[in-house]
Amino acid sequence: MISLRHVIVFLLLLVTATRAWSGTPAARVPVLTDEEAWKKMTFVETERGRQLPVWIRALAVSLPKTAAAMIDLDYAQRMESTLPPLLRAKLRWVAADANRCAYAKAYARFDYVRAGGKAEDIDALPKQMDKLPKEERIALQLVKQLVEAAYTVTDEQVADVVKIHGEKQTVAIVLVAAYANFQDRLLLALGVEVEPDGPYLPIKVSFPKPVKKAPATEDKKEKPKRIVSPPAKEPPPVPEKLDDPEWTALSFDALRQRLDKQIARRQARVRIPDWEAVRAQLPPEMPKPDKPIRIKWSLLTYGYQPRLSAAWLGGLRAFRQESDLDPVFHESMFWVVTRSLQCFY
Amino acid sequence: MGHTQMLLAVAGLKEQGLNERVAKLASGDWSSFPPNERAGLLFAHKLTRKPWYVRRSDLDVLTAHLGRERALDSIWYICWCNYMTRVADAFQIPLEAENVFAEEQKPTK
Repeated sequence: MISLRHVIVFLLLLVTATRAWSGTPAARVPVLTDEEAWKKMTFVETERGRQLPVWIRALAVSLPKTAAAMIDLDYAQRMESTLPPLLRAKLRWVAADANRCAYAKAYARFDYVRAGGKAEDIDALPKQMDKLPKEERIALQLVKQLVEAAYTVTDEQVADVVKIHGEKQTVAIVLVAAYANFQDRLLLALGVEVEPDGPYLPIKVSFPKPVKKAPATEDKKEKPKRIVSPPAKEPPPVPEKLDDPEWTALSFDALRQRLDKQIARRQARVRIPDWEAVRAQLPPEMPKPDKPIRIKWSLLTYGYQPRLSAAWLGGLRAFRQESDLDPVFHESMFWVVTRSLQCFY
Repeated sequence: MGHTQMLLAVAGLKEQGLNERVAKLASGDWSSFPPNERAGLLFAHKLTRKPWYVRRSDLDVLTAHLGRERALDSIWYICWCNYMTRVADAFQIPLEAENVFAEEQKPTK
């Protein structure tokens, strides 16, 4: 006969097993403790020992450099944006709301209150949109649309935002939307919940300056072999076809025509600064590129928002050092993302 | 050529292979891709289109096919792509005439 004691022992074992897998019940992936995560990020110069957000502790399990770069990015977005803090928090909240991300909404509300706003005001945003001053309304509308259907944003719409906010701030507004579309997906995929004593304040980190090495030395240095867990021996079957009527409704030829139209486009919706102007204002902590940047995406973002862009691309650099995905496979995922969004990119 | 295609070229695909791969991706019939790639591509589609519908079971399938670390790599990268596209769409940034990513990898003179 099963006694109460047996039931209690079974439940305790179940809880222990769950924690061994996920570290915290509020995530779908393994999560380190603060102490474990900081140990993995020994290269970070900061007030060590601060409480880390759960998504950072999840990344730190196998991507510690990327996790550290994400702490910096989060700090740059939340503390160093050129936007007024109240507006910035509202924009972030609207994006999180559109992405249905409760974690990010809680953090945006926290930042709004920290900046002097009232929690009830930000919670009422969807109902208040029409009553807001035009300068706020068009910025919030742009961010919402960038989350829900970015391809529907028009030249006139961006021109309106630029007219009121200027080019620099318009880029900052778009970068809030871009960051939200990155972070919310990460939070939703990892299935994290707000920390029991969260939300937390952003953490200022710094990294040792990279030592410039001769290219020949870099070539000789091999990337250390990464230890990874193998796939399952008998993984579940995966569908062979994508079940999405919208996807098949747009033919390959129609996609090509859109791309050709984009190639023919001569100008972006804001002026793209040239390399000399961009180089002059790169943040001092950023490794200086050997060659001029020619990618227009990078020139635009660095040109108007060097700090936010350096923090973002610092994340990519760290990720490239740590991950070892097959290049054709991971760029194919990028292709799928662009197609899913009907983005020309 | 779009940036994703430029990156596929830098990843090692020649013109014909690249065109064939993109045509297959565009068709939505991914039966010729191995199951582990399909798992990543399907996850990329779902996380991009309806991130709020991603469930633990989706993550379990991805992890079963790629292993835990590469599943996390894939998630991070898909999220990264979602940042890049929003900036491109917002500003309708013109595409470069040449593959600027290939140029980035050439040694400095």
